[in-house]
Amino acid sequence: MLMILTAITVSVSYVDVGIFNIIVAMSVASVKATLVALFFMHLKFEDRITWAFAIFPLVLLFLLIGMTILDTFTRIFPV
Amino acid sequence: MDHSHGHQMDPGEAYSTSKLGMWLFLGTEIMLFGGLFAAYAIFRSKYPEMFLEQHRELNREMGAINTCILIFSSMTMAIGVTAIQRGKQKLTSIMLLITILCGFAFAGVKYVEYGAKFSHHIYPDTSIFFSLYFMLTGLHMLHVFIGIAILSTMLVLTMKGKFNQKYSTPVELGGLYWHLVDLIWIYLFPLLYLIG
Amino acid sequence: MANNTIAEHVYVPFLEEKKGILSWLTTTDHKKIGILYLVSVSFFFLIAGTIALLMRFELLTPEADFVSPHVYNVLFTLHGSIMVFFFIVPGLAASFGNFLIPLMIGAPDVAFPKLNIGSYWLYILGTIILLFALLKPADTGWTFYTPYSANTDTDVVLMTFGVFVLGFSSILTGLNFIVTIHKMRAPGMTWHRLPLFIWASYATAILQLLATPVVGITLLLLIAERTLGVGFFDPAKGGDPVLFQNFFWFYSHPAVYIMIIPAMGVISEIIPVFARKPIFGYKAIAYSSLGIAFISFLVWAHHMFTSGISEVAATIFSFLTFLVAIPTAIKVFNWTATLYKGSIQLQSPMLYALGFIFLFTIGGLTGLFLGALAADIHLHDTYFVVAHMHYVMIGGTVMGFFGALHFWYPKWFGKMFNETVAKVAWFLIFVGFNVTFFPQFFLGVEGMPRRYATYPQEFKSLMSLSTYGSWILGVGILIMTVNLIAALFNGEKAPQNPYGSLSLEWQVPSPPPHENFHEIPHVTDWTYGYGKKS
Repeated sequence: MLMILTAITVSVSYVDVGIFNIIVAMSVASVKATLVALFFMHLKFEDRITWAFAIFPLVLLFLLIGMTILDTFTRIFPV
Repeated sequence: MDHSHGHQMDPGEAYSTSKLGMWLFLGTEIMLFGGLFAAYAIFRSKYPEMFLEQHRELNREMGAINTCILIFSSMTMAIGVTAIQRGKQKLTSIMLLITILCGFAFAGVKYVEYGAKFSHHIYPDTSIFFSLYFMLTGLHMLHVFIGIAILSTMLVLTMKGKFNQKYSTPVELGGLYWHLVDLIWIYLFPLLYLIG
Repeated sequence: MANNTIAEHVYVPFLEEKKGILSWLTTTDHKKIGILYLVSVSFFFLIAGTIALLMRFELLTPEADFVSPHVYNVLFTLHGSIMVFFFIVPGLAASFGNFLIPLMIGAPDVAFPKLNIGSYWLYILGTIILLFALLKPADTGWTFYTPYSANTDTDVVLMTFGVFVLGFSSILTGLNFIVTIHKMRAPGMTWHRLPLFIWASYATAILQLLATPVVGITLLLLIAERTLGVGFFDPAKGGDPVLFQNFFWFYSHPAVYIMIIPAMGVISEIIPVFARKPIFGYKAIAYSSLGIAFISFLVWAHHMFTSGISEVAATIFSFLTFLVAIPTAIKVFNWTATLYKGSIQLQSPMLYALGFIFLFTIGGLTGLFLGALAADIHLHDTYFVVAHMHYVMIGGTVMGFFGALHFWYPKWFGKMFNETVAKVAWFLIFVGFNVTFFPQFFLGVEGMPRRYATYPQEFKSLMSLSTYGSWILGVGILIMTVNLIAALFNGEKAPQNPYGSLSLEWQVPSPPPHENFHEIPHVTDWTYGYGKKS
């Protein structure tokens, strides 16, 4: 598992030398994060409550980021 | 004494209770950093050229090294936790030590990076991008130090024989905290260093 | 002392378990920690209330003749900060939550008792730091908006740091309660047998846990702005002052639900007991607490309709704001339905509960006025908002707090207070409150802005009326306080269950022993089986 993660990291840093897209970077980061959470942190084997509290903050985060971006970019006089 | 704490939880319940508590705490850390990530998202969307141009000042190689250091340290931490769950105190101590040293190594690399920035007259107030850079990595660094402190305490206690296969909860909780530190960096690295 | 002489079951009330100030400050007994919080928050409530009386005294006349406008700014900053951060956010949750949660679920204590006393120390540390900063003085208002807070030379860094420490206390308390409720329920205490105060405490704890860190990072950013010259909120450096408001209210709106949801829980406990009827719509009330908590994360920008946010965002937030009224209304309907054909006993806890329903409904409905975009343009930052918030916070939370005080007083302290005096105090509080704040709705519609020490002559009669009301309210609170404190010394010994409640905390002696239950109970029925012919 570790090897996969390291290889992914390295490949990411190669890719950015060329044309790069933030979506790829974030996806790779998310895969890495998921692997760390599931296996290193044993989330895979935890009960439902723990899962709920691991995921709910992420939902809230998307809310915060999403709505503030929505506000900032739909203003008539952009700051 | 008749201070009947007779209603102690059984060890299995106490273990899962403590673990739930730590996961909840990690949730709060996510919300804490989340605010900074939100600020990043907003300012990046507003000033894409500034971010593009200025992130080139960052040393990608050092960032990648730090990423590998942390992921490696997460692995050693996980091995350490499994070790103590099997009662292997010596292995746990070694793994904890390596993890802590990785933490210091990470700090060392950041020290060099920050030094380089300051010598180029780049400070937190130089621009929004660098404000975010210093705030994000600075807050993260603080958590690395807290993690080192926690793991050092665990190391000392392990060497004193306080943990074994029946009771290893604090080591695991410390491990969870350390993994969070790694997780946050996993996102910081591409966002700051790789967004070209 | 006819103590039970069987060795393991000597009943020692928890209050007499250990003596001495040091033992109190290092206790891990949730009941004592609850008292520590109760005393602290009540103390600050009285202080901040006195400051409010000073403010209203100034507002008796249109000119700034009692205090200067600058001093007035300091006063409302003090009043707001102390009320919000020292009293109402920790208030019901930390005092009554601490006392009741383990007892109601049949547990010996909370999940992390040492963390619990740690939370209290953080609370005290935070109050000391913040108080010190506020008295320096501070005049930013309790909301310390940028750009003023980023540039003024009052000690904003110290102030925000104090709030940060208080926030930490709140987070850890929330964490403790969530884990306790998940993991330490007595056998047979399924989720659907839990008292509604527990559902309310759970929803509140989630808000405390997850919303507070966002204000934490906001405060850190403000400190960075002042100390490192970082410019997130500074337009000259590419930042946005409205961003501060977005982040600030992401926490502070859920914070107001932290303030009210426990009070709603209290009402759900009191009404069935004093109507001798099962609560109507248990599941609806239980899930509405969670619903309110969730939706509360979605409405924060309704505090910012006039700050320059986009119309698109404003419309969405307005719609979501109307949505949050629904679970709230569900509660009000269910409480009212519980009263219907109940055998109503108008003792002091019930008076506060009924007062809550009436006053909170007014407060809640006027919130809808403010949620409507067009109306808010006119009403934002006027006395209409002041009236709305005090109707929900005093008419809501404080009524709930006083009701809880009177309801659980016998259980917590083992004494009975004077019921007649309590009723008189209630009456003065109820009348005084309405005379103080109802005129403010009209003042707001007429255009009187908030946070102003001076005002045009045309508002004088309503402003004076409001001040007279504040005096009645003050006297009522004073009488209530004296009554409750005197009863500690002179009150009759309380029976185990003076009000005939079925909830677990009433099945142990008053006050409970240190370990709560000699044997953990096995629960077989829900808490609200009143009026059953057994």
